[in-house]
Amino acid sequence: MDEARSAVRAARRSDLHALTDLRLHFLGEAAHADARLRLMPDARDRTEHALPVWMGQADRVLLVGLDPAHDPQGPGADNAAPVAYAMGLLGAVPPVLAAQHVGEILEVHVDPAHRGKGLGDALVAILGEALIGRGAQVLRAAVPSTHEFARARLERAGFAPLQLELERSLDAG
Amino acid sequence: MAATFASWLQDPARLVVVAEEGGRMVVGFAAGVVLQGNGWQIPARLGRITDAYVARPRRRLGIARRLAGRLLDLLYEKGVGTVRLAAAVQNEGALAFWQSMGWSDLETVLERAVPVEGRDPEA
Repeated sequence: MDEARSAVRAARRSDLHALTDLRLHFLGEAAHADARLRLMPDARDRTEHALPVWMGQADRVLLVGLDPAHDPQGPGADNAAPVAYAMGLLGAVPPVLAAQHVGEILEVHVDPAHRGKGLGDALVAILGEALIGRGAQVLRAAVPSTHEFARARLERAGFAPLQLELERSLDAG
Repeated sequence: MAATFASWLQDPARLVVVAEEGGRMVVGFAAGVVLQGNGWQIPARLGRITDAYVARPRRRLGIARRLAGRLLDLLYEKGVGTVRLAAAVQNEGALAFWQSMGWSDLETVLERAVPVEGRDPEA
């Protein structure tokens, strides 16, 4: 875990191209597992426009993970392309009952070729710490119900199921 | 709470339906909202049921089913093709109700409490 933690850093402008590819892969995996999470046709354009904005928002945390096998202090480390990322957001919900600062873990993705090295666990841990540092009173994360690995990763980090998000199509009658 | 309801009634994206008894007493209500998609994964017009409640003495009379059905009709009239809602994992009755009306699991929301000493005191 220590090696993986040292491979995680805040996202930079120079990561934008790799981040776009990683995010499209993340969304594509969810769509592949559940057709209801299909991508919209302009998902790439929207992501390319959104990422630079998100990077500048104080209530949003965007982290990247590098290959833990590479020395983070070694030559070329500054130019190493991210192989994983995580994004979180600090929000205030619910509006009707007691206001609560919720740290939302929105997205965590590790390139398939770099799984099993602890990067996902390290990203969840560091993202949680960053959101708590910004004032989160509770952490929440939504994962596709078909993604057992994502749920297991969160449960290893101390998360427990709270709600189910249900969906129904009206077009089907 | 009254102010919240009042703002919902003024908001064209919001829908509120009530169940009346004898034309005088409201014994249940359901509320929904039409949301815009995020451009990458959520339908362009997504319906969300935010509230559904029936007074305890009037439960098991089919009121919730009629409220939900009316709300879905109104969402459909607003061009919504997909409707989502959240239900607590411990609320087995609610989950069974919505599943019996055609809803199925999409995502699981997990939570982790934050110890008070871990928080930013300035936040």
